[in-house]
Amino acid sequence: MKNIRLWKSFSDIDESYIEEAAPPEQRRIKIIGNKNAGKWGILAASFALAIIVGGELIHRGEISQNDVQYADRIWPVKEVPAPNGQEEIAPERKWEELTISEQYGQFEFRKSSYSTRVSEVKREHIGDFLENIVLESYDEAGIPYTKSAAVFEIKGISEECAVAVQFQGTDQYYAYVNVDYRAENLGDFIGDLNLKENIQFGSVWYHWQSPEGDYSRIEFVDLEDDMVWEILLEDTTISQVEDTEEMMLIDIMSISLDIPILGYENIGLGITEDGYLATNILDTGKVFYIGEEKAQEFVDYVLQNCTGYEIVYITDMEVKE
Amino acid sequence: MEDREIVELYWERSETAISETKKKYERYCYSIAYHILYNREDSEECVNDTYIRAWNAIPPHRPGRLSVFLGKITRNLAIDCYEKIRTIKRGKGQAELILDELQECIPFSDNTEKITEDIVLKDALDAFLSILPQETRKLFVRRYWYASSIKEIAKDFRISESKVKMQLLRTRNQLRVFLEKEGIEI
Repeated sequence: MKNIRLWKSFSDIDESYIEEAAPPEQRRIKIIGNKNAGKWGILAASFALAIIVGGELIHRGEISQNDVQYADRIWPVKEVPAPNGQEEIAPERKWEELTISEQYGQFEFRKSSYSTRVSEVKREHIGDFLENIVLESYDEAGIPYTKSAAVFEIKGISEECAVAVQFQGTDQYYAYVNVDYRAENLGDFIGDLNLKENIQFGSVWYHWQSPEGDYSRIEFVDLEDDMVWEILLEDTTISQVEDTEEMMLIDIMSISLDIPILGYENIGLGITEDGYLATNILDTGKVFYIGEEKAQEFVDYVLQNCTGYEIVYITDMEVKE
Repeated sequence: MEDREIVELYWERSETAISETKKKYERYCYSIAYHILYNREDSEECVNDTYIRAWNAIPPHRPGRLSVFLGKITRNLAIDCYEKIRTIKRGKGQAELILDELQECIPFSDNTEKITEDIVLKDALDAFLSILPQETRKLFVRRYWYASSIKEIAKDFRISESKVKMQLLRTRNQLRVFLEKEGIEI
């Protein structure tokens, strides 16, 4: 097979290319070996004061904050434990180890495909009964299984977006979302998901490039929800962008958000420089064009009014020292 | 423990070399294998075999970058394992997707007898990678050396998944044209 030969040939490429492309968890191993090097790589090298302060922080090995000055920007440093990379590659579990909503991960309902959120929906959020269905699935050996279940509305949320499923013989209700859902416009999207009630905004994340060319991740923590609604979500008439497959969406800022009723935690609402609003609510990309002016207005609002911290990840070893 | 100290342990034929390697690089090697195989048992086996291969190779070898040295072994073992099992069942990991994508890079040829030697192919890949902008190269190597998923790459590079796909598509096309110009036969 020619493609396998080509794939294998990559094994012997120049080692420096392999090293420079290493995933974050591997790059963090390097930081353990040379703690200051990792920190200095993030900070702007020309600011001696910042480097010394940062070095002391790591030496103390505690989560703390300190001012770092970049040209005309000043953001305190917030050191946070690095996420555990192993979590991203959880081993495959066997059929009997899965919860029932994981075993039956998706089903077709009224000509749309619904996927499990795994999360439970509280009984008080369950609306009208919609239909009885039979879900089909396969275990790792390819053995087929079926399970009867009842589909219910989730109060306030359109069945075109999400439904709750109660499997026969159980008391729980599980959230399933329609990954094919498309809104006519932003207003429908907000209304169908009852986002005014269901969404919770968190931090704003900003990818800032210093004059020296280094990238830093800045977290702004005191975003006012009203400003998101006023600046980004005000014009409810704008249409959802039809074809996003070939789009280059590069966020300048993104807002983390939760939708607890559907089990979403820390997903995103991104704002691009060229005026697009993009989100992965309902598991697939949804894009709306709000215009460059609105995008810039939001960026200006955040930079001028919110409290920012430069995020620096440190390893467990650095925390313990 | 520093890499050079671990390599010294191998040279001293101390079995501590294995335990120190495991302590420092088990997760890294497992991640490489798992991305290709998407199977816990097979991935663990590849990682365990990696230690044996390293034990047999050092000495006489003295790797400059231990992480890359181990990663290469794991990667090769995982691809070999993948080749064995793919006839039995279709993989759920990145391997099938990557192979489909790399099919696009194969230069058009009607000469099935003239196959480029491994060393020439390796040099051509290095030459191609050297002319890419650094970010493009990193992204390309993350996909085709580390077998990282599009989603992981998008997250780590802080770009959209569609941009990752587009960038990879362009780079694959560039690679095919480059290999054709170089007269490479695969």
